[in-house]
Amino acid sequence: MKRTSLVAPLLLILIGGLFLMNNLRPDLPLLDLLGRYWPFLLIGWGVLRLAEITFWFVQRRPLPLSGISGGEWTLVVLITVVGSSLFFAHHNNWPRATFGIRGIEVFGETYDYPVAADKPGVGKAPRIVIENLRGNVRIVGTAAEDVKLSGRKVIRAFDQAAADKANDSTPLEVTTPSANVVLIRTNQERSGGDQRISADLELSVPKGATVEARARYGDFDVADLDGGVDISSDNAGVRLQNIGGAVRLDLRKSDVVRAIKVKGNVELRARGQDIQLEDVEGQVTIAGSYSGDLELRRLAKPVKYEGAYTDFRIERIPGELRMGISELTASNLVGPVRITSSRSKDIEINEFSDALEIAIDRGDVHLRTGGGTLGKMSVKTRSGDLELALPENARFDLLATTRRGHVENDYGSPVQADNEDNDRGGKLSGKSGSGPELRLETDRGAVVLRKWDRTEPAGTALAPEPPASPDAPRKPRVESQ
Amino acid sequence: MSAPNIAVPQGTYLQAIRGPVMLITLGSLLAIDQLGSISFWRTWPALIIIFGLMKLFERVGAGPLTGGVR
Repeated sequence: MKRTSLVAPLLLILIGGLFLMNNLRPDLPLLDLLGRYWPFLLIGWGVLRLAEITFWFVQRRPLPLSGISGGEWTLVVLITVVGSSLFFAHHNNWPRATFGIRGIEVFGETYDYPVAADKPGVGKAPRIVIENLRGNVRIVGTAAEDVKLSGRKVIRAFDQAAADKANDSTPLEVTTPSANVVLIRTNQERSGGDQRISADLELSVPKGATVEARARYGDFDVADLDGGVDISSDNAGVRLQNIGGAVRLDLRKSDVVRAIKVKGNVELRARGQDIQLEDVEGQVTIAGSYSGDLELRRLAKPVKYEGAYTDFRIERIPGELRMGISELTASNLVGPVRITSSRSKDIEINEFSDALEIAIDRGDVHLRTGGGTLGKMSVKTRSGDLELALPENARFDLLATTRRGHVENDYGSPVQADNEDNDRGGKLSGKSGSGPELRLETDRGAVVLRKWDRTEPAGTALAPEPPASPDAPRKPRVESQ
Repeated sequence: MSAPNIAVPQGTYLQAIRGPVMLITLGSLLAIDQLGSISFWRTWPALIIIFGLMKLFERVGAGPLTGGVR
């Protein structure tokens, strides 16, 4: 009796059958399915073979030396290569669909269809749910108790007939699935993959409304709402103004997030670029990774930032904080302030109160305390200069050290400077009254202690940059992809 | 091949199932890769581990688990 496995021939028959089916009935998405689920073919094969061998073993029939022969492994490699290339083709819509979309972008034209809808009597504070796959959305709160929608649908297609068909298959729907909920759907997912559809919508909603939006690509502009705003999108710029409720933004990609005058908490998670928050009365939480500029002004509650390399937590920002890739400058902060960074960051803080903790990998730190009481201070950098300006007659217990570099005492008594020869380190120490502990430490760099006069206006020692002028309003985003 | 039964070298059960188990592991890793959670290029060392485990079991359980005609 020969121990030949039945599984490999079965598998060959199955694969042959699939390709034959694909040739005879090209409308069935067999190749797509195969491209997606081919690894299960290998799993199934292994399971069948395992069962077969176990069966032989139980029957006390002779077992082969190896469960899968060299030839069969060759087949496995073949399946893997063919399967992954099928997957690649399917996954990237290549070459067929890419040609289609590219073709539309080169040869196709855009067709515009106006859209409009009214939903009267939705109450004072409805929940507005928007499912707009692609396109820009602009929402404004008004005193009326109805939802008014206008805008246009843009369809890119080869001809008018195809565009009309796509337009018919993607009707804009405004429904009220339950009391107090208004659902706005653009139904773009219903069209086939060969047209590119986007919808730019303008909505006026009752002022008390709460907005909830899910989208793939497009900007959001929301203004004058008493309710909250919750947006999740794959790619969106978001601009908010005068929002009464909480703001939650979950953006996979974003070029800009701007929120001005928000009464509730702001929670932002994104892989984005610029962030600008002003006059926020609630807590602010920012997480994700950002490559642009961060600007925070007048935030009344604690602020927490968790970036890719830099984290900070600040009790309040009555002044402003600006952060770029390699620098952080701030003026008028209320502590406790805690800043950590695993990358290079130059930090400049002008006027702060309460405790301060800074730990950075490299970068210079320039600090100037405010007129209020000092808190405990701990500043550490591996490589960089430290400069601290304290007011006259301040109470403190100071110890500032450098391991490689020198120290400089411009403050005078009671601080003492001890420098080793040849810049091999130094120490500044001094105690005045029962003040808080100030600990400054750099492995490599100079340490300078200065004095500022209480009569001297804040900001002369380290002049902050003037605030940037606001950007001009942007044109609606034109898709290019 | 129509060699008589006695001439064919025989393997143990653990030896025989090594191939199928490796195949199942490979398929599972590729399926995980495919469904988008963890890339195969990060999980492939699991194959070596499974192979090592199978070899280890073969050593440990060689005696009692010898299958087929004794």
